Amino acid sequence: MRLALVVSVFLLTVSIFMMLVITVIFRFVRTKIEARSTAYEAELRTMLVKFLTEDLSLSELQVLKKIHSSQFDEISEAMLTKVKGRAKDILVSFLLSRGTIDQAIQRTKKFGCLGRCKAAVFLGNVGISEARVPLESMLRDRRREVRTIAVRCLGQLGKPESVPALLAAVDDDGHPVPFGTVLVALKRIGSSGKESMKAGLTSGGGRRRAVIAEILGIEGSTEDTPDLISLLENDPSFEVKVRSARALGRIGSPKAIPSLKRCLESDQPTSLRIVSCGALAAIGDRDTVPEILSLLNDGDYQLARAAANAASRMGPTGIKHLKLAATSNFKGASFAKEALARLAAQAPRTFQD
Amino acid sequence: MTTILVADDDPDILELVNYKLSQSGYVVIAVPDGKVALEQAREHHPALMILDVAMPFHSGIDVTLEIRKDPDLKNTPIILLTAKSMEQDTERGFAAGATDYMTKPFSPRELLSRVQAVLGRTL
Repeated sequence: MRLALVVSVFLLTVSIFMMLVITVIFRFVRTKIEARSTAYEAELRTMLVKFLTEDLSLSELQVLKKIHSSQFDEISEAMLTKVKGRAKDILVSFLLSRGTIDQAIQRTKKFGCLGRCKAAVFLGNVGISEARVPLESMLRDRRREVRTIAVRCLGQLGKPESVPALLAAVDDDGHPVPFGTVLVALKRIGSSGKESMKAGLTSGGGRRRAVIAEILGIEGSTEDTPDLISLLENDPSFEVKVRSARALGRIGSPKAIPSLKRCLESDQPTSLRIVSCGALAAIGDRDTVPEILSLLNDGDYQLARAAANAASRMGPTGIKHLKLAATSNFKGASFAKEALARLAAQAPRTFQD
Repeated sequence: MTTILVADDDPDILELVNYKLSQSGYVVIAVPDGKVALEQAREHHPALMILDVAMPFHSGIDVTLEIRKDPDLKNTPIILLTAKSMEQDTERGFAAGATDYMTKPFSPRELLSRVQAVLGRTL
Protein backbone atom coordinates (compact mmCIF):
# COMPACT_ATOMS: atom_id res chain seq x y z
CA MET A 1 0.00 0.00 0.00
CA ARG A 2 2.76 2.34 1.06
CA LEU A 3 4.87 1.32 -1.95
CA ALA A 4 1.95 2.00 -4.27
CA LEU A 5 1.59 5.51 -2.79
CA VAL A 6 5.30 6.25 -3.23
CA VAL A 7 5.17 5.00 -6.84
CA SER A 8 2.11 7.15 -7.65
CA VAL A 9 3.70 10.26 -6.13
CA PHE A 10 6.86 9.52 -8.10
CA LEU A 11 4.94 9.06 -11.35
CA LEU A 12 2.95 12.23 -10.74
CA THR A 13 6.14 14.23 -10.10
CA VAL A 14 7.77 12.81 -13.23
CA SER A 15 4.74 13.59 -15.40
CA ILE A 16 4.55 17.17 -14.06
CA PHE A 17 8.24 17.60 -14.73
CA MET A 18 7.86 16.18 -18.24
CA MET A 19 4.95 18.53 -18.94
CA LEU A 20 7.03 21.48 -17.76
CA VAL A 21 9.92 20.43 -20.02
CA ILE A 22 7.58 20.00 -23.00
CA THR A 23 6.00 23.45 -22.37
CA VAL A 24 9.42 25.12 -22.14
CA ILE A 25 10.60 23.41 -25.35
CA PHE A 26 7.36 24.29 -27.14
CA ARG A 27 7.60 27.95 -26.10
CA PHE A 28 11.24 28.11 -27.11
CA VAL A 29 10.54 26.64 -30.54
CA ARG A 30 7.52 28.89 -31.05
CA THR A 31 9.50 32.02 -30.12
CA LYS A 32 12.24 31.01 -32.55
CA ILE A 33 9.74 30.38 -35.35
CA GLU A 34 7.97 33.69 -34.67
CA ALA A 35 11.28 35.60 -34.64
CA ARG A 36 12.28 33.97 -37.91
CA SER A 37 8.92 34.68 -39.46
CA THR A 38 9.04 38.35 -38.34
CA ALA A 39 12.56 38.72 -39.73
CA TYR A 40 11.50 37.15 -42.99
CA GLU A 41 8.38 39.32 -43.13
CA ALA A 42 10.57 42.42 -42.79
CA GLU A 43 12.73 41.14 -45.64
CA LEU A 44 9.66 40.47 -47.79
CA ARG A 45 8.29 43.91 -46.98
CA THR A 46 11.52 45.51 -48.19
CA MET A 47 11.25 43.47 -51.38
CA LEU A 48 7.66 44.60 -51.88
CA VAL A 49 8.58 48.25 -51.31
CA LYS A 50 11.41 47.95 -53.87
CA PHE A 51 8.96 46.34 -56.28
CA LEU A 52 6.40 49.11 -55.78
CA THR A 53 9.00 51.82 -56.35
CA GLU A 54 10.12 49.95 -59.51
CA ASP A 55 13.55 49.05 -58.17
CA LEU A 56 12.82 45.34 -58.44
CA SER A 57 11.35 43.60 -61.47
CA LEU A 58 8.66 40.94 -61.53
CA SER A 59 11.18 38.34 -62.72
CA GLU A 60 13.34 39.03 -59.66
CA LEU A 61 10.37 38.18 -57.46
CA GLN A 62 10.02 34.74 -59.10
CA VAL A 63 12.97 33.50 -57.01
CA LEU A 64 10.71 33.39 -53.95
CA LYS A 65 10.08 29.90 -52.62
CA LYS A 66 6.46 28.73 -52.55
CA ILE A 67 6.11 29.04 -48.76
CA HIS A 68 7.47 32.60 -48.83
CA SER A 69 5.51 33.64 -51.88
CA SER A 70 2.22 33.05 -50.05
CA GLN A 71 3.51 35.24 -47.19
CA PHE A 72 4.50 37.80 -49.82
CA ASP A 73 0.96 37.69 -51.25
CA GLU A 74 -0.45 38.40 -47.78
CA ILE A 75 1.77 41.47 -47.34
CA SER A 76 0.84 42.63 -50.85
CA GLU A 77 -2.87 42.29 -50.07
CA ALA A 78 -2.42 44.35 -46.89
CA MET A 79 -0.58 47.02 -48.89
CA LEU A 80 -3.54 47.36 -51.30
CA THR A 81 -5.45 49.60 -48.90
CA LYS A 82 -2.45 51.82 -48.18
CA VAL A 83 -1.28 53.00 -51.58
CA LYS A 84 -2.78 54.54 -54.68
CA GLY A 85 -1.60 55.78 -58.05
CA ARG A 86 1.26 54.03 -59.85
CA ALA A 87 2.18 51.95 -56.79
CA LYS A 88 -1.33 50.49 -56.63
CA ASP A 89 -1.36 49.82 -60.38
CA ILE A 90 1.89 47.86 -60.02
CA LEU A 91 0.47 45.92 -57.09
CA VAL A 92 -2.77 45.07 -58.91
CA SER A 93 -0.89 43.91 -62.05
CA PHE A 94 1.30 41.76 -59.81
CA LEU A 95 -1.71 40.18 -58.09
CA LEU A 96 -3.35 39.62 -61.47
CA SER A 97 -0.20 37.92 -62.79
CA ARG A 98 -0.10 35.66 -59.72
CA GLY A 99 -3.72 34.66 -60.24
CA THR A 100 -4.62 35.98 -56.75
CA ILE A 101 -7.55 37.98 -58.11
CA ASP A 102 -8.97 35.00 -60.03
CA GLN A 103 -8.62 32.91 -56.88
CA ALA A 104 -10.54 35.57 -54.92
CA ILE A 105 -13.31 35.51 -57.54
CA GLN A 106 -13.49 31.73 -57.08
CA ARG A 107 -13.61 32.19 -53.30
CA THR A 108 -16.78 34.32 -53.62
CA LYS A 109 -18.59 31.01 -54.23
CA LYS A 110 -16.95 29.12 -51.33
CA PHE A 111 -19.04 27.37 -48.72
CA GLY A 112 -17.60 29.25 -45.73
CA CYS A 113 -19.17 32.62 -45.02
CA LEU A 114 -15.90 34.12 -43.71
CA GLY A 115 -14.05 33.06 -46.87
CA ARG A 116 -16.68 34.76 -49.04
CA CYS A 117 -16.53 37.93 -46.92
CA LYS A 118 -12.71 38.04 -47.16
CA ALA A 119 -12.86 37.53 -50.92
CA ALA A 120 -15.36 40.39 -51.27
CA VAL A 121 -13.21 42.73 -49.16
CA PHE A 122 -10.16 41.82 -51.22
CA LEU A 123 -12.00 42.45 -54.51
CA GLY A 124 -13.24 45.80 -53.18
CA ASN A 125 -9.69 46.77 -52.24
CA VAL A 126 -8.32 45.72 -55.63
CA GLY A 127 -10.81 48.07 -57.25
CA ILE A 128 -10.70 46.71 -60.79
CA SER A 129 -13.72 46.42 -63.14
CA GLU A 130 -13.47 42.61 -63.21
CA ALA A 131 -14.48 42.58 -59.53
CA ARG A 132 -17.87 44.17 -60.23
CA VAL A 133 -19.78 41.15 -61.57
CA PRO A 134 -18.73 38.69 -58.81
CA LEU A 135 -19.51 41.34 -56.18
CA GLU A 136 -22.93 41.99 -57.74
CA SER A 137 -23.74 38.28 -57.69
CA MET A 138 -22.88 38.30 -53.96
CA LEU A 139 -25.81 40.67 -53.42
CA ARG A 140 -28.00 37.54 -53.61
CA ASP A 141 -25.83 35.54 -51.19
CA ARG A 142 -27.69 33.44 -48.62
CA ARG A 143 -25.95 35.23 -45.70
CA ARG A 144 -26.89 38.81 -44.81
CA GLU A 145 -23.34 39.74 -43.67
CA VAL A 146 -21.90 38.68 -47.04
CA ARG A 147 -24.51 40.74 -48.88
CA THR A 148 -23.77 43.76 -46.67
CA ILE A 149 -20.03 43.50 -47.33
CA ALA A 150 -20.69 43.11 -51.07
CA VAL A 151 -22.72 46.34 -51.03
CA ARG A 152 -19.92 48.15 -49.18
CA CYS A 153 -17.31 46.83 -51.62
CA LEU A 154 -19.36 47.84 -54.66
CA GLY A 155 -19.44 51.35 -53.22
CA GLN A 156 -15.67 51.18 -52.75
CA LEU A 157 -15.32 50.07 -56.37
CA GLY A 158 -17.34 53.13 -57.38
CA LYS A 159 -18.52 51.87 -60.77
CA PRO A 160 -21.75 53.51 -62.02
CA GLU A 161 -22.65 50.20 -63.73
CA SER A 162 -23.32 48.78 -60.23
CA VAL A 163 -26.18 51.20 -59.54
CA PRO A 164 -29.02 49.04 -61.03
CA ALA A 165 -27.81 45.98 -59.06
CA LEU A 166 -27.61 48.00 -55.81
CA LEU A 167 -31.09 49.44 -56.35
CA ALA A 168 -32.47 45.98 -57.10
CA ALA A 169 -30.83 44.72 -53.87
CA VAL A 170 -32.70 47.36 -51.83
CA ASP A 171 -36.00 46.04 -53.19
CA ASP A 172 -35.14 42.35 -52.84
CA ASP A 173 -37.23 41.11 -49.90
CA GLY A 174 -35.79 37.61 -50.22
CA HIS A 175 -32.21 38.87 -49.77
CA PRO A 176 -32.52 42.08 -47.72
CA VAL A 177 -29.56 44.45 -47.40
CA PRO A 178 -29.25 47.36 -44.93
CA PHE A 179 -30.74 50.55 -46.36
CA GLY A 180 -27.99 52.76 -44.88
CA THR A 181 -25.19 50.65 -46.37
CA VAL A 182 -26.72 50.93 -49.85
CA LEU A 183 -27.08 54.67 -49.30
CA VAL A 184 -23.39 55.02 -48.45
CA ALA A 185 -22.38 52.86 -51.42
CA LEU A 186 -24.45 54.96 -53.83
CA LYS A 187 -23.05 58.11 -52.29
CA ARG A 188 -19.52 56.81 -52.93
CA ILE A 189 -20.37 56.07 -56.56
CA GLY A 190 -21.47 59.69 -56.78
CA SER A 191 -22.80 61.72 -59.66
CA SER A 192 -21.47 59.31 -62.31
CA GLY A 193 -24.27 56.91 -61.34
CA LYS A 194 -27.00 59.53 -61.29
CA GLU A 195 -28.53 58.70 -64.66
CA SER A 196 -28.97 55.02 -63.72
CA MET A 197 -30.34 56.12 -60.38
CA LYS A 198 -32.94 58.42 -61.93
CA ALA A 199 -33.96 55.63 -64.32
CA GLY A 200 -34.78 53.62 -61.19
CA LEU A 201 -37.43 56.17 -60.18
CA THR A 202 -39.90 54.78 -62.70
CA SER A 203 -39.53 51.12 -61.75
CA GLY A 204 -39.27 48.91 -58.70
CA GLY A 205 -40.53 49.26 -55.17
CA GLY A 206 -40.81 52.04 -52.63
CA ARG A 207 -37.50 51.33 -50.88
CA ARG A 208 -35.68 51.87 -54.16
CA ARG A 209 -37.34 55.26 -54.70
CA ALA A 210 -36.72 56.16 -51.05
CA VAL A 211 -32.99 55.53 -51.39
CA ILE A 212 -32.87 57.52 -54.64
CA ALA A 213 -34.72 60.45 -53.03
CA GLU A 214 -32.24 60.41 -50.13
CA ILE A 215 -29.23 60.36 -52.46
CA LEU A 216 -30.61 63.19 -54.62
CA GLY A 217 -31.02 65.25 -51.45
CA ILE A 218 -27.45 64.51 -50.33
CA GLU A 219 -26.09 65.41 -53.77
CA GLY A 220 -28.02 68.69 -53.45
CA SER A 221 -28.40 69.59 -57.10
CA THR A 222 -31.31 71.98 -57.89
CA GLU A 223 -31.89 70.25 -61.23
CA ASP A 224 -33.33 67.28 -59.29
CA THR A 225 -36.00 69.43 -57.63
CA PRO A 226 -38.80 68.60 -60.18
CA ASP A 227 -38.21 64.83 -59.74
CA LEU A 228 -38.35 65.14 -55.98
CA ILE A 229 -41.47 67.34 -56.09
CA SER A 230 -43.13 64.71 -58.27
CA LEU A 231 -42.20 62.00 -55.72
CA LEU A 232 -43.48 64.14 -52.85
CA GLU A 233 -46.82 64.79 -54.56
CA ASN A 234 -47.55 61.52 -56.33
CA ASP A 235 -45.64 58.63 -54.79
CA PRO A 236 -47.88 56.06 -53.09
CA SER A 237 -45.19 55.23 -50.50
CA PHE A 238 -45.20 57.27 -47.31
CA GLU A 239 -41.45 56.66 -46.77
CA VAL A 240 -40.67 58.05 -50.23
CA LYS A 241 -42.71 61.17 -49.50
CA VAL A 242 -40.91 61.80 -46.19
CA ARG A 243 -37.46 61.31 -47.72
CA SER A 244 -38.37 63.50 -50.71
CA ALA A 245 -39.50 66.30 -48.37
CA ARG A 246 -36.23 66.09 -46.46
CA ALA A 247 -34.24 66.02 -49.71
CA LEU A 248 -36.05 69.12 -50.97
CA GLY A 249 -35.09 70.89 -47.74
CA ARG A 250 -31.46 69.91 -48.27
CA ILE A 251 -31.47 71.18 -51.85
CA GLY A 252 -33.13 74.41 -50.74
CA SER A 253 -34.86 75.39 -53.97
CA PRO A 254 -37.83 77.77 -53.47
CA LYS A 255 -39.66 75.85 -56.24
CA ALA A 256 -40.43 73.19 -53.64
CA ILE A 257 -42.23 75.58 -51.26
CA PRO A 258 -45.82 75.14 -52.60
CA SER A 259 -45.59 71.32 -52.46
CA LEU A 260 -44.04 71.38 -48.99
CA LYS A 261 -46.74 73.78 -47.78
CA ARG A 262 -49.40 71.36 -49.00
CA CYS A 263 -47.73 68.67 -46.88
CA LEU A 264 -48.32 70.79 -43.76
CA GLU A 265 -52.10 70.39 -44.08
CA SER A 266 -53.93 68.53 -41.35
CA ASP A 267 -54.96 65.59 -43.56
CA GLN A 268 -51.30 64.61 -44.02
CA PRO A 269 -49.49 62.15 -41.69
CA THR A 270 -47.76 63.81 -38.74
CA SER A 271 -44.25 62.60 -39.68
CA LEU A 272 -44.57 64.10 -43.15
CA ARG A 273 -45.82 67.38 -41.67
CA ILE A 274 -42.87 67.48 -39.24
CA VAL A 275 -40.28 66.79 -41.95
CA SER A 276 -41.90 69.32 -44.31
CA CYS A 277 -41.77 71.90 -41.54
CA GLY A 278 -38.00 71.32 -41.19
CA ALA A 279 -37.56 71.39 -44.98
CA LEU A 280 -39.33 74.75 -45.25
CA ALA A 281 -37.10 76.10 -42.47
CA ALA A 282 -34.03 74.83 -44.36
CA ILE A 283 -35.19 76.64 -47.53
CA GLY A 284 -35.60 79.68 -45.30
CA ASP A 285 -38.22 81.73 -47.14
CA ARG A 286 -39.45 84.41 -44.69
CA ASP A 287 -42.96 84.34 -46.16
CA THR A 288 -43.47 80.79 -44.92
CA VAL A 289 -42.88 81.71 -41.24
CA PRO A 290 -46.54 82.56 -40.41
CA GLU A 291 -47.68 79.31 -42.01
CA ILE A 292 -45.15 77.29 -40.04
CA LEU A 293 -46.03 79.03 -36.78
CA SER A 294 -49.73 78.45 -37.32
CA LEU A 295 -48.89 74.82 -36.54
CA LEU A 296 -48.27 75.87 -32.91
CA ASN A 297 -52.06 75.62 -32.58
CA ASP A 298 -52.08 72.01 -33.76
CA GLY A 299 -53.23 69.39 -31.31
CA ASP A 300 -50.13 67.25 -31.94
CA TYR A 301 -47.43 68.45 -29.55
CA GLN A 302 -44.61 66.93 -31.67
CA LEU A 303 -45.68 69.00 -34.66
CA ALA A 304 -46.06 72.15 -32.58
CA ARG A 305 -42.57 71.69 -31.15
CA ALA A 306 -41.13 71.04 -34.64
CA ALA A 307 -42.80 74.21 -35.91
CA ALA A 308 -41.29 76.30 -33.10
CA ASN A 309 -37.84 74.82 -33.72
CA ALA A 310 -38.17 75.40 -37.47
CA ALA A 311 -39.09 79.06 -36.96
CA SER A 312 -36.13 79.53 -34.61
CA ARG A 313 -33.83 78.58 -37.52
CA MET A 314 -35.34 81.13 -39.91
CA GLY A 315 -33.38 84.23 -38.96
CA PRO A 316 -34.69 87.53 -37.52
CA THR A 317 -38.15 87.13 -39.11
CA GLY A 318 -38.58 83.69 -37.57
CA ILE A 319 -37.45 84.92 -34.15
CA LYS A 320 -39.72 87.97 -34.33
CA HIS A 321 -42.77 85.83 -35.05
CA LEU A 322 -41.68 83.32 -32.43
CA LYS A 323 -41.55 86.06 -29.79
CA LEU A 324 -45.05 87.16 -30.76
CA ALA A 325 -46.26 83.56 -30.59
CA ALA A 326 -44.65 83.09 -27.15
CA THR A 327 -46.75 85.90 -25.68
CA SER A 328 -49.95 84.94 -27.52
CA ASN A 329 -52.67 82.59 -26.41
CA PHE A 330 -51.56 79.93 -28.92
CA LYS A 331 -51.88 76.39 -27.61
CA GLY A 332 -48.21 75.84 -28.33
CA ALA A 333 -46.95 79.15 -26.91
CA SER A 334 -44.83 77.14 -24.43
CA PHE A 335 -42.98 75.54 -27.37
CA ALA A 336 -42.22 78.99 -28.74
CA LYS A 337 -40.79 79.96 -25.33
CA GLU A 338 -38.78 76.74 -25.25
CA ALA A 339 -37.30 77.40 -28.72
CA LEU A 340 -36.40 80.96 -27.75
CA ALA A 341 -34.77 79.77 -24.53
CA ARG A 342 -32.72 77.25 -26.49
CA LEU A 343 -31.61 79.96 -28.90
CA ALA A 344 -30.53 82.15 -25.98
CA ALA A 345 -28.60 79.25 -24.41
CA GLN A 346 -26.82 78.52 -27.69
CA ALA A 347 -25.87 82.15 -28.36
CA PRO A 348 -22.11 82.84 -28.23
CA ARG A 349 -20.98 84.48 -25.00
CA THR A 350 -18.12 86.77 -24.09
CA PHE A 351 -16.02 86.23 -20.95
CA GLN A 352 -17.88 89.12 -19.26
CA ASP A 353 -21.16 87.20 -19.68
CA MET B 1 22.21 65.95 -46.93
CA THR B 2 18.65 66.83 -45.97
CA THR B 3 17.26 64.89 -43.03
CA ILE B 4 13.59 63.93 -42.91
CA LEU B 5 11.89 62.40 -39.89
CA VAL B 6 9.04 59.98 -40.63
CA ALA B 7 6.74 58.70 -37.88
CA ASP B 8 4.10 56.04 -38.52
CA ASP B 9 2.99 53.01 -36.50
CA ASP B 10 2.24 51.02 -39.66
CA PRO B 11 5.47 49.20 -40.64
CA ASP B 12 4.37 48.90 -44.30
CA ILE B 13 3.94 52.64 -44.68
CA LEU B 14 7.04 53.45 -42.65
CA GLU B 15 9.12 51.19 -44.87
CA LEU B 16 7.60 52.52 -48.09
CA VAL B 17 8.09 56.21 -47.19
CA ASN B 18 11.57 55.50 -45.82
CA TYR B 19 12.64 53.71 -49.00
CA LYS B 20 11.10 56.22 -51.42
CA LEU B 21 12.74 59.20 -49.69
CA SER B 22 16.11 57.44 -49.18
CA GLN B 23 16.07 56.51 -52.87
CA SER B 24 15.70 60.22 -53.69
CA GLY B 25 18.78 61.12 -51.66
CA TYR B 26 17.29 62.16 -48.32
CA VAL B 27 18.53 60.93 -44.97
CA VAL B 28 15.49 59.39 -43.30
CA ILE B 29 14.90 58.81 -39.60
CA ALA B 30 11.98 56.37 -39.35
CA VAL B 31 10.24 56.00 -35.99
CA PRO B 32 7.14 54.02 -34.95
CA ASP B 33 5.45 56.46 -32.55
CA GLY B 34 4.95 60.09 -31.60
CA LYS B 35 7.00 60.01 -28.42
CA VAL B 36 10.15 58.78 -30.16
CA ALA B 37 9.44 61.22 -33.01
CA LEU B 38 9.63 64.14 -30.56
CA GLU B 39 12.85 62.83 -28.99
CA GLN B 40 14.47 62.28 -32.39
CA ALA B 41 13.33 65.68 -33.68
CA ARG B 42 14.93 67.40 -30.69
CA GLU B 43 18.13 65.46 -31.20
CA HIS B 44 18.51 65.66 -35.00
CA HIS B 45 16.63 68.84 -36.00
CA PRO B 46 15.24 67.40 -39.26
CA ALA B 47 14.52 69.66 -42.24
CA LEU B 48 11.04 68.16 -42.55
CA MET B 49 8.75 65.86 -40.58
CA ILE B 50 6.14 63.46 -41.99
CA LEU B 51 3.75 62.36 -39.27
CA ASP B 52 0.88 59.93 -39.08
CA VAL B 53 -2.05 61.36 -37.07
CA ALA B 54 -3.21 58.25 -35.19
CA MET B 55 -0.09 56.94 -33.41
CA PRO B 56 0.55 55.44 -29.98
CA PHE B 57 1.58 57.70 -27.05
CA HIS B 58 1.50 61.03 -28.93
CA SER B 59 -0.71 61.61 -31.99
CA GLY B 60 0.66 63.47 -35.01
CA ILE B 61 -1.42 66.48 -33.94
CA ASP B 62 0.12 66.41 -30.43
CA VAL B 63 3.62 66.18 -31.92
CA THR B 64 2.86 69.10 -34.27
CA LEU B 65 1.64 71.21 -31.35
CA GLU B 66 4.77 70.35 -29.32
CA ILE B 67 7.05 71.16 -32.26
CA ARG B 68 5.36 74.52 -32.78
CA LYS B 69 5.95 75.36 -29.12
CA ASP B 70 9.65 74.44 -29.25
CA PRO B 71 11.77 77.54 -30.07
CA ASP B 72 14.42 75.43 -31.88
CA LEU B 73 11.98 73.43 -34.01
CA LYS B 74 8.99 75.71 -34.45
CA ASN B 75 9.82 76.48 -38.10
CA THR B 76 10.21 72.83 -39.13
CA PRO B 77 7.73 72.04 -41.91
CA ILE B 78 5.37 69.18 -41.07
CA ILE B 79 3.38 67.02 -43.47
CA LEU B 80 0.55 65.05 -41.86
CA LEU B 81 -0.05 61.71 -43.56
CA THR B 82 -3.26 60.18 -42.30
CA ALA B 83 -6.26 58.00 -43.01
CA LYS B 84 -8.51 60.73 -41.56
CA SER B 85 -9.96 62.38 -44.63
CA MET B 86 -12.88 64.38 -43.27
CA GLU B 87 -12.91 68.14 -43.75
CA GLN B 88 -12.75 68.77 -40.00
CA ASP B 89 -9.70 66.49 -39.66
CA THR B 90 -7.84 68.54 -42.28
CA GLU B 91 -8.89 71.74 -40.51
CA ARG B 92 -7.66 70.34 -37.21
CA GLY B 93 -4.31 69.42 -38.74
CA PHE B 94 -3.74 72.84 -40.24
CA ALA B 95 -4.95 74.54 -37.05
CA ALA B 96 -2.31 72.59 -35.11
CA GLY B 97 0.36 74.03 -37.42
CA ALA B 98 0.83 71.44 -40.17
CA THR B 99 2.39 72.71 -43.40
CA ASP B 100 0.65 70.16 -45.63
CA TYR B 101 -1.88 67.33 -45.28
CA MET B 102 -2.04 64.07 -47.22
CA THR B 103 -4.58 61.31 -46.87
CA LYS B 104 -4.08 57.54 -47.02
CA PRO B 105 -4.15 55.62 -49.29
CA PHE B 106 -1.35 57.71 -50.70
CA SER B 107 0.80 57.77 -53.78
CA PRO B 108 4.54 57.53 -52.95
CA ARG B 109 5.29 59.67 -56.00
CA GLU B 110 2.88 62.38 -54.88
CA LEU B 111 4.39 62.32 -51.40
CA LEU B 112 7.86 62.83 -52.88
CA SER B 113 6.60 65.77 -54.97
CA ARG B 114 5.04 67.34 -51.91
CA VAL B 115 8.21 66.84 -49.88
CA GLN B 116 10.24 68.50 -52.62
CA ALA B 117 7.74 71.36 -52.87
CA VAL B 118 7.67 71.97 -49.12
CA LEU B 119 11.46 71.80 -48.84
CA GLY B 120 11.80 74.05 -51.88
CA ARG B 121 9.70 76.67 -50.14
CA THR B 122 11.47 76.48 -46.81
CA LEU B 123 15.15 75.69 -47.47
